[in-house]
Amino acid sequence: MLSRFSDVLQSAADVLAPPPSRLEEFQYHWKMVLNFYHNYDESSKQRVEDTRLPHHLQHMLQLLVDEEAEAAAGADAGAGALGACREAVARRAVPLPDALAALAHADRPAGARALALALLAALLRRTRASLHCAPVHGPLRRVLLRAAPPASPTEREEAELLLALCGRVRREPSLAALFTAPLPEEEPALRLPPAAPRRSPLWDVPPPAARVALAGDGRRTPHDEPERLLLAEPLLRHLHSADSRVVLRACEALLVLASLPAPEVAHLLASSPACECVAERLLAAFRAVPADLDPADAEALPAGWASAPPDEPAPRAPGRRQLGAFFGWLDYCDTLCKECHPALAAHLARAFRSHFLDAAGEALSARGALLATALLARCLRRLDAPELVDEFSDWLVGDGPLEEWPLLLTLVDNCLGADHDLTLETLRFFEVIVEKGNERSMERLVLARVSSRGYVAPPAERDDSAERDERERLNDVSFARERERSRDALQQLQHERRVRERVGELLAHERDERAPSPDLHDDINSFLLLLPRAVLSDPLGADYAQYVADAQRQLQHWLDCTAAHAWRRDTRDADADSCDSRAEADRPAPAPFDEGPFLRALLELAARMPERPYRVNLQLTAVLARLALLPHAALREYLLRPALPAAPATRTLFRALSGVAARLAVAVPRLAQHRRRLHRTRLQLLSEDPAADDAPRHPLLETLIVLEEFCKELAAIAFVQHQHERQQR
Amino acid sequence: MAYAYLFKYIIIGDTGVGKSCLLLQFTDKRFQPVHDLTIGVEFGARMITIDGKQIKLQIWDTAGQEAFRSITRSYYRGAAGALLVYDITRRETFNHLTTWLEDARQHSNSNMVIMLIGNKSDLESRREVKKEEGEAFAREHGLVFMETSAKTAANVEEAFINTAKEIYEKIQEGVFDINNEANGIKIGPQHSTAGAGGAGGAGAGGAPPGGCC
Repeated sequence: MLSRFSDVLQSAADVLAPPPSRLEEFQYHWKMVLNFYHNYDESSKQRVEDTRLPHHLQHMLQLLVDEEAEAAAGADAGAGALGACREAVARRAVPLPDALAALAHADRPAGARALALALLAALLRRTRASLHCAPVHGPLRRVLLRAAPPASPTEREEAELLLALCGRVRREPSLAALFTAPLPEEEPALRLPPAAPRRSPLWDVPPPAARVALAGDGRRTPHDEPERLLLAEPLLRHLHSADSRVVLRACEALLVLASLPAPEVAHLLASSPACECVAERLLAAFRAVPADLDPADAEALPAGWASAPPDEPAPRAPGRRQLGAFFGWLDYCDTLCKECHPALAAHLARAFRSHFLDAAGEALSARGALLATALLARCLRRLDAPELVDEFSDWLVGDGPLEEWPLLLTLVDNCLGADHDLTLETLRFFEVIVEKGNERSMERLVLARVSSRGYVAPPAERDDSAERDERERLNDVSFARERERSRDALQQLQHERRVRERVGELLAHERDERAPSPDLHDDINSFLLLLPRAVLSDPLGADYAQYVADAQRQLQHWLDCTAAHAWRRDTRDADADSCDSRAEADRPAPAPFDEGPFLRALLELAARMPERPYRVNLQLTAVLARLALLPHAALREYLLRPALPAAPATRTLFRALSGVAARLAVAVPRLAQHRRRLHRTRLQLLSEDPAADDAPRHPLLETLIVLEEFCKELAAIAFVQHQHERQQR
Repeated sequence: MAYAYLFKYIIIGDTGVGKSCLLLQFTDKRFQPVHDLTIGVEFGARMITIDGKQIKLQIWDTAGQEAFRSITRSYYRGAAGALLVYDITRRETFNHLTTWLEDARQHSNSNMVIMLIGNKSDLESRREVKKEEGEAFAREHGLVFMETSAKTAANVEEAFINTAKEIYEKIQEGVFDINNEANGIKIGPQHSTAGAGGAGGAGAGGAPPGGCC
C-alpha cells in the first residue's frame, strides 16, 4: 500500500519536475526492489502477486526493451554504444539478472521463482542483452545449476527459459561454451550493493558453481571432470515430465540445440545422455500401448510429434492416446535425426538400437508378439532418417551367422506358426523389411544366398526332358480328368495356344534384332499355364497388361533405390544371365544350395497356401513379388526362371507353386458347382466395392484365385525384368 | 465446445512480420506491440461459423528465424491451411516468400490452402511493397491474397475466415480426406447429445454433414 502511495507521489512529482531519464527510472525501480527486501518479513505469507515486486521488475525489463528499440530505430547515431540501462546491468551497478537468479532460488515471497524465471526468459527473448557478459550469463548458469526437483510447480517457466536460452545458443553457437561445466574460470561472486540487507534472498546467494555442482552427482573432481552441457541436464529431465507442455518445450529446445552446425555442441550433446533419453521415452511409450489394441488403429492417427496442442484433451478411444504417444516419440526421434548434426545422428541411431530396438524386440517372442510385430513394422515404415532406417535394417539381420540370429529366427517362427494373425503381421513386417532394407540387410537376408547360383542343377545331373516332363505331368493330372470331356480338353489346348501367341506377340514388340530367348518364352508360359484352364476363374487373363505396367513402375522404383548398391555393378550377374542354360557347363559344382531362413520361410508358406487363409496368402504373394522385382540377376533367375533346371532337393518358388497348383487342380473340380462358385468368389475378392457381396467363400477357391493372379503377376515381372536386362546390354 | 470441424492452420513467414500479433488479434482481439521472439510453437484457437456450421480453428504460430527452421518444419505436416505473412514495410520479407513457399509445399500435404498476407497495412507511409506486387505473386503461385493490419485489426478476421471457407469448399468437393487427421481436419463430435458441451460427446462422430463422395 505504502509503495503504491510512493508511486503516486512519484507521478505527482513528475508533473512538477522534468521527467526522469530512462536510467533514473531504471534505478528508481531497482531501489524499490531493494527496499522491498529491506523491509521483508520472513514470516510473511504474502504471495508475490500481491506485492509491487512484479510491477517494478517488469518495468525494468520494459525500460531495457524500449532503450534497445530506440537504439535500433536510430541505428546510425550511436552504433555499438550500449544504452545507459544496459550499461548499468553490464557494470553490475544494477545487477538485475543476479537479482532474478537469486529470487528464482529463494522463491520469497512465494511465487517469486515463477516470476523471476519468466522475466529471465523474457529478457532473453525480447532484448539482445549480451550473454557474453558475465553479469548476464553468470546468473543464468546459477539458475541452471540449481534446477528444481522434477515436477516442481515452476516446471513450465523453467521449460520456457530453457527454450529461450537454447534459442540464443542456436543463434550464437559460441555461447554454448558459457553453459558448460566446469567453466575454466568461474565468475566473481556477486558484489552486493552496499545497502543490501543482511537477510534477503539477494544476500543468500552462495558462491556459484562449486557447491551446487556437488548436488549433481557427488563425484565431482575439480580438474579432470569431463566437460558437460549444463543446458542438457534440466532439459532431459523435462522430457520425462507429466506436463505435456513442458515435454513439448523440452523437445523443441533439444531440437534447436541439436540442429546447431557446431561440432563441439554436437559432441557435448552426444556425451550427454540426450539420445539415450529420447530412445528410452520411445521405449516407454511402446510398452505403454495396451496389448489388446487393434494394430490397424495406428493407420489414421496423425503422425507428428507436434501434431496435438499440449493442452488438448486426450482422445477417449481406448489405447489411442498411448498409440499416438508412441508414434509421436517415433516421429520426434526421426525428426531429431534428420535435423541434427551428422555426428549426433550417428550417436542417436546407436541409442535407438541399444535403448529401444533391443528391448522392443524381446516383445516379439512374448505374449504380445502380434502387437509388437505390427508396431515395429509400422515403425520401420514410418522412419525416414537414413541413419535410423539403416540401424533398424542392421539390427534385423544381426552380425554373426544369420541362422543364429535370435531375432530373425523368432520372426521366422512367428511367420510359420499356427496363429494366422501373427503370420499375417509378420509377413507385413517382412514386406517393409524388404522395401526399406539397406544394402547389407538385403545381402544377408537374400542376395548372398542366391549369388552362388547353387540352385542350378549341376550339368551332370541335369536332365532337361525330366524337368519338362515334370511340368507336363503337373498339367496331366487335370488332363486325365479332362479327357473325359473332350470339349474341355480342346479348350485347354486352345487356351495354351492363345497364351503362347500372346506371349509371342509381347516379345515380338521388343525392338531388338536378337530374337527373344526361347527360355523367356518358356518361363512366361510356365507361369501362365501353371493352372489348367478348367479351374481358372479368368481364362482370358484380362489384367495381364495392368500387371506389366505395375511391374514396370515398381522395377523402376527398385532401380532408383538400389542405384548405389555394390551388387548392381557386379559383372558376374551379366554372365549369370546368359539365358542359354547350357553355357555354364564348365563351372565347378557349387556347395548344396541353402536359401537361408528368410527365403525358406517364404517358400514354405508358399507351398502351404491351401492351408492358409486368403489374407495371409495375399500378403505372402506381395512379399514374393517385391523380391522378384529386385534388379538382381541371380535372384531373378532363382525366382522367375522355371525353365532353368534346378538342382534336385532344392526349394524353388516354381516347385512350391506347382505343388499347390496340382493340389488345387484335383481338389477344386470336386467342389459342387465349382465353376459358378469360382466365378462368384472372383467377383467378391476383386470387386472394388468392399460391401458388394459377403457371402461365405470356400478357402480353396480363394487360394486358387490368389495363385491365378500371382502367376499373372510373376509372368509380368519375368517379362519386365527380361526387358530391363536387354536394355542394359 | 462442440464443433462440426476442426481445421489446423499454421502461420509462417520471416521474423518480425507480425505473425504472433495476427494470431493475438484474431483470438483475443487485441494488439500487443512487444516483440517477443517466438522460438517454439505457440497455439491459439477460436470458433467461427461457416455455412451455419461451427468450425474450430486451431492455429499454430511458428518461429520466423532461420535458426529455428528445424522446429517450424515439424509443424507443416498436419496443417490444412497456412497464412504466409510478409511485412509491406520490409521488402526483404517479400523477397523471401519463394523460399517459404518451397518449404511449405515440400513439407505439407499437397492440398493445404495457402493465404498470402501483406501485414502492417496501417504503416502506409513506410510501405516498400506495392499491393499489386502481392497480388501478382499470389496469382502466379495460386494463393489467395489480402493485406491486413494486426494493429488496427483491418482484414484480420477476413484472412482467417476466408482461408477456412476455402478449406470448407475443398471438403465439399471431396478434395480432402477428412477421415485422416494428418490432413489437418478433424470431424467434431457433433450431432451427438446436443447441449452436452464441455469435453465433447462420445467418441462416435457421425458422418460429416457435407458427406463425401
